[in-house]
Amino acid sequence: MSEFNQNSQNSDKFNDSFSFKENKSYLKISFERVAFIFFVFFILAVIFSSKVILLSIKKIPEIQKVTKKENFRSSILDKDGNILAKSVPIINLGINPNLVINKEKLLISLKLIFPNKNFDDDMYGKKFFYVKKKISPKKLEQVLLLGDKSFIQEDSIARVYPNGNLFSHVIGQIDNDNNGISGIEKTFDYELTTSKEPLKLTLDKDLQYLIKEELLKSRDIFQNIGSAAVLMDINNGNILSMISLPDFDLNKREKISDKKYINRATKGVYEFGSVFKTFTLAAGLQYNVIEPDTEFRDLKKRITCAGNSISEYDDKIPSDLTAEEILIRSGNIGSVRIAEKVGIENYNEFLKKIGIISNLEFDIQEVGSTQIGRWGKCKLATVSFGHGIATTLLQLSKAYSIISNGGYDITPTLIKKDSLKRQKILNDNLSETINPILRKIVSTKEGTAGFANVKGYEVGGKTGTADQPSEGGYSKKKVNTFTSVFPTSDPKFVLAVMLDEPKANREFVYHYRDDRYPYKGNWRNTAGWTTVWVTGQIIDKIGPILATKY
Amino acid sequence: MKKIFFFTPIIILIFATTLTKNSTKKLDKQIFEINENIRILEDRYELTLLDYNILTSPKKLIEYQKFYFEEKLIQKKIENLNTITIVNDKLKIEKMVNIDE
Repeated sequence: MSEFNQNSQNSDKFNDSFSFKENKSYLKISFERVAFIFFVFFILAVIFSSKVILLSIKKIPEIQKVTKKENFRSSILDKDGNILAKSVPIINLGINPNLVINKEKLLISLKLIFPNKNFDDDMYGKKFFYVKKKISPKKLEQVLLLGDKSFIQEDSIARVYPNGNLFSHVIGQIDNDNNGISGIEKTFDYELTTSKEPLKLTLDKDLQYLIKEELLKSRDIFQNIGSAAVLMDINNGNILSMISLPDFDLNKREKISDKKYINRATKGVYEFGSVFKTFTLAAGLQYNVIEPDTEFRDLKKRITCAGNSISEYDDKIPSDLTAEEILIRSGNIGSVRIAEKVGIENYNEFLKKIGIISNLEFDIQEVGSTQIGRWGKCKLATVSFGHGIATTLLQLSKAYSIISNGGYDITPTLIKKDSLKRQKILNDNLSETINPILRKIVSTKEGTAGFANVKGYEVGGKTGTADQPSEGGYSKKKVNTFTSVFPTSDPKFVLAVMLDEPKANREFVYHYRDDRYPYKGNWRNTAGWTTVWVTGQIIDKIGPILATKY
Repeated sequence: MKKIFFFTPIIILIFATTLTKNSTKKLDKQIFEINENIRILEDRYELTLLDYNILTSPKKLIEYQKFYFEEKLIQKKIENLNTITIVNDKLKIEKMVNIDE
């Protein structure tokens, strides 16, 4: 018995220990499962939390675009508060033919109200159609008096542009769903559809109109296929006027796909020719390799580089010239010599500094980028006089602004800003040295821009006549440019004007700005005889406004 | 007596609240009406401004000038423009630019 008891006790002991072990194991598994599930949920929570934090920190434009827009779009104003674009509420009147009780009777009534429209096909073939978009209050009242319940009124907005096509390239277009598709309307789409405040631009409608008129006249005289002009405040980059022709009427809401409507001021990329000689001289002064009176002797009339010929446009140009004279007389070979002194690295760095090579961030998305190719000895030679490099008129305006405003960096802008931090990027006195030379190009007989010598405005600037590249070489088609700075004693404005493929007009009578008799029969298709003349006319017209208002 | 002291201020407060609420309601209504009127006037002003901007666009102004004034309006040259400043209570008139280049 005692043995049995002992065995039994042993058995109990054994059972206890077995059952204890089993329990211990069960607890362990259960704890691990809980821990595992907790871990999974913890990871999920961390992932979702980090995503939420990321979304709250980062502004994603796609999300902004998805936001549903009401029938609202802010106005766009010029610098004086004049309306350039405004949305007005309109009603589109539609009809659901399925709800019409007597279709024939309704068709007769509609024919009386809209005699020029025929709704027969729509009435019997569609589930919905518009009777009239942007219906006038008078017509709407007439329709509603018919008392038919099948009419559907749809509230919408219509964008009105009081100046028609005057600002077409800058403002841009919107689509039927109130989305900006080009220009300011596209770049500031989110702001315009969410902010109640109007968007104020730096543009001046009077200046814009006067410049456009002169460009239109130039088209009649020189038969150019297009033209562009940029007028910029030299000290802060505010663009007072930006024109590109041909333009289009924004009120017509046409689909613009023809390449001739490209924005020639910002998107069109051109070889501008001799206007680059100013940069070559400025780079020489920046890196202290020349002074204005540094002499260059025995300049050849023609040189070759890698089998390509570089020659002077005028064989009468003297062989001995100072650096200053090279710019005034627009010497190609002299510019090559200056650029050689500057060197490839320095010249490349200088062009980056003044914004010719670096990409330009601008307020509209239709912006072209400079094309230059690979630097080399011959590339340096051609770029020194503005060939082998293609850029935009806007970048050209920016570069001239920096060179003339004391060497301060500026960013061209269309949006009015309160304050601006200025950073000096060029040497002291560079502008003081360059500006009088630019003035001499306009004011002296040796210069190429006498037609822009408008009294009282101290106009300075540089001309550029460039053959345009075509397959395997250059064509006879030209782009004539004149970039002016005025008044040169205290520069305030840059005006860059470009004519695309102008032709010489032998019938046109030129009136000189000095005592010389008028001249007719010009055969030269250069900037001096085309673009400079247009620029002179523009400054004549806008000068009094700039002098009194700015 | 205690009940009177207890309930009288409560009743007064209830009446005062009712009166205040009633007058606030009237004020709210007036504010709403004024806001609506302002909104209508603002809409009208903006449309009038739009009309004004269309009628005074540079293109229209040049048309009016040709139609009504023919050649009577002449553009001023900068050499004919003067600046007027007041120095010691006296008008000082100076040429805007000196053209002696």
